[in-house]
Amino acid sequence: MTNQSFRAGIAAFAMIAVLGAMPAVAGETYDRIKSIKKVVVGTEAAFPPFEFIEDGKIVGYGKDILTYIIADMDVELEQLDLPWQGILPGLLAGKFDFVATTVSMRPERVDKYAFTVPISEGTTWTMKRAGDDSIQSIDDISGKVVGTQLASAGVPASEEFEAMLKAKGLAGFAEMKLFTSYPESYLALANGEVDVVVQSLPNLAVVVKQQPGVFALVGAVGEKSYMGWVTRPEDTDLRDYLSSKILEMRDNGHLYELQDKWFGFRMDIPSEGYLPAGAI
Amino acid sequence: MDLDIGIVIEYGPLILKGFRLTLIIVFFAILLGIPLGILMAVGRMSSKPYFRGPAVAVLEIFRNTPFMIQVFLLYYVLPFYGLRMPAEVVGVLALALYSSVYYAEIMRAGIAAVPRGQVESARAIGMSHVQALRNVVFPQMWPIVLPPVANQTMSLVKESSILATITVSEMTMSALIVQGITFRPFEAFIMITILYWVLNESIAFSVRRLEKRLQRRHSRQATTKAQDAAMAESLEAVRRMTR
Amino acid sequence: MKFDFSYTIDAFPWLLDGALITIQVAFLSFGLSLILATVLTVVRSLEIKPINAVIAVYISFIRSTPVLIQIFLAYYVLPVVGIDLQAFTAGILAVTLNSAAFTTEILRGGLAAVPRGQFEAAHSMGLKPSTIWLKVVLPQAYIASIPPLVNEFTLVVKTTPLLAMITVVELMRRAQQIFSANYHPVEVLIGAFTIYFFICFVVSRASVVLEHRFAVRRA
Repeated sequence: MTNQSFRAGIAAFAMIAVLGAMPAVAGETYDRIKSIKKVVVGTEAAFPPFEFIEDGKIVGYGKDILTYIIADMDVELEQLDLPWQGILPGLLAGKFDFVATTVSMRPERVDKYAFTVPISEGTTWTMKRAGDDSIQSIDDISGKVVGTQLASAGVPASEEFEAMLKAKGLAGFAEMKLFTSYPESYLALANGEVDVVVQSLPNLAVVVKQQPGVFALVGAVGEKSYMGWVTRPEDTDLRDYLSSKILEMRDNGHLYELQDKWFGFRMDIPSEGYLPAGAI
Repeated sequence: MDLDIGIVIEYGPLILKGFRLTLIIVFFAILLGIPLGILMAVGRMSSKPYFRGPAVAVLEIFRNTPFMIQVFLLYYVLPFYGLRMPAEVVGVLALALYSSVYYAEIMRAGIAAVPRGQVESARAIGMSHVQALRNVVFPQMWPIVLPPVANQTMSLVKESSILATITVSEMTMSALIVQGITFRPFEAFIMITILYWVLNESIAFSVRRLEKRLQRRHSRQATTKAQDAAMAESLEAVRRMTR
Repeated sequence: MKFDFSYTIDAFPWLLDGALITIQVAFLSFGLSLILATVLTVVRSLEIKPINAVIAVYISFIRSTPVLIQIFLAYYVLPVVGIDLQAFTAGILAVTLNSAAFTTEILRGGLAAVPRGQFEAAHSMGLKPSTIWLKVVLPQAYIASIPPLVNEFTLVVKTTPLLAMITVVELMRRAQQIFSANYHPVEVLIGAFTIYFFICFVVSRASVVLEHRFAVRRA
């Protein structure tokens, strides 16, 4: 072999290697939606104030964002209300086109699903009964009964929190109770079944606001993180479209209006740096 | 559809922990439910209206409402009365109350099967009604009553799955947890399906064996045709009621 | 004990909405279950060993596993083998298959109540098997089974709240939605409880009426 052909061979090999390492061809979901003019989304309508049921209809912050996007897409919407345990598996199983429900950007999720730009902050916080003076800081949660949602981000977040307590030399939780939905955990907190609920800040803040005198926030138990919507990993074009719309809503102020309406406070929506390493 | 054995191996212990709690809960529910059932049966047969009335009311209420809503109500009502109990205890209570209705029917059939003449003789030699029940009727009742009680146990094992909805970490909850972590419903549910099936089929098998043995023993006893018919009808009614 | 029953009253219209779905599900599942059970009963009488074995396994499975698990299997596990069902459909499927197993056993009892002589008489009259079944045997089997069949219907009604776990918006799920928003679970649940009681109570009284109408003689 001559020197030239050898180098050509290496170049060709390198090119094939690079092409092979590139992400697979974008999925066809976005194109299909545009051609049949209909989109099916999965929502867990038990996550106030993002998506929940009022008078038999799905409403909330997330629903308002979806309405804006659907108007722009100009397609027919079918919104499926599913239990949380069926949302992410259902997405991968192709039961619907994307997840229009708030999903925390957990490290173990970001390489399996394509997240949009955040629609809210998702830092894990804790909530207690107002007037429960035995809990003044998050360290006092040691030895208490903690509640969160089955199969949600609250579970690994609680486990990490417990590990943190133990590392400080404190006892872990007395018990961790899992509920099929968060509203059940709020009820359990109110009637004393659990002492603390672990969930993302915006949800807890709204619950405290709606039930003044019943609940109170304790403190953050994790690092700042965010929540957004999710598409299948191959549908990065759909994900990019959704992200662009969310950023558009942020930049024209509409998103902040919705935040005022549903939360009573505003959260920063960063354009980048919101995903842990290794994300799609 | 591919079975991931790794998941079965890794989460099998968690499922078995749930299985153990299911067994414990069912055991205590039976322990509590049978006396409650006897109480209700006696109350229902009582000639005094202030015993009979409440007994009938309770029976009708528990018979005509779904177990799931009984569980939820108990779970949410008790804290209002200051009773803060672990979910498992609430679960046992709910199961015991629910099953006491069926135990009451079973006990009623059992009591009716003991020849009347025996109770009368017992009263004649000076025993009170309660003593007659305790010393004469109940000992003879057990062989007749055991098969339907075992059947009802199968029912309890199945209803216990509903306790997952009030956070009890029994077998169904453990399957939901495994599904939540692994996102693989197939392995999670197949494991508990097999466990429930094996558990209940074993009970059913023992019941069939027991019934055959008791048939042989019963045919040696002296009961009238009318009594036989009455007992058969009661037991048939119970079999229909239980699932 | 400060229960505010105005919450119960406020919730009632929404609860009744859910109750309508409950009744629809119950009627649909029970109806389908009757059809399936009839087919299985006829097939079983043909005494084809392998088919009867399959039916026996099916009945054993239904009777030995919790309904809730059967519902989860229909909704969460069937998709894994390619059968993707919406919550309502999966729910109807699970409840139907569940009820059909018990109904088949009920009809077996009802069938036994039909005097053997009728089969033979009808046969000697030259009637076709399908006519014998449809016009002679099954009607009598059904009438003999009215009490347990009506009881089975109430059992189906009592199974429907489990569908709330796969988000079918029947009475139980309505109640959950309402008390999740107003934090008064007891008042709302009492409302739902009363509605369930009413439905089951009415059905079991209807059984008495039906028995009189068809003059069912209890053996």
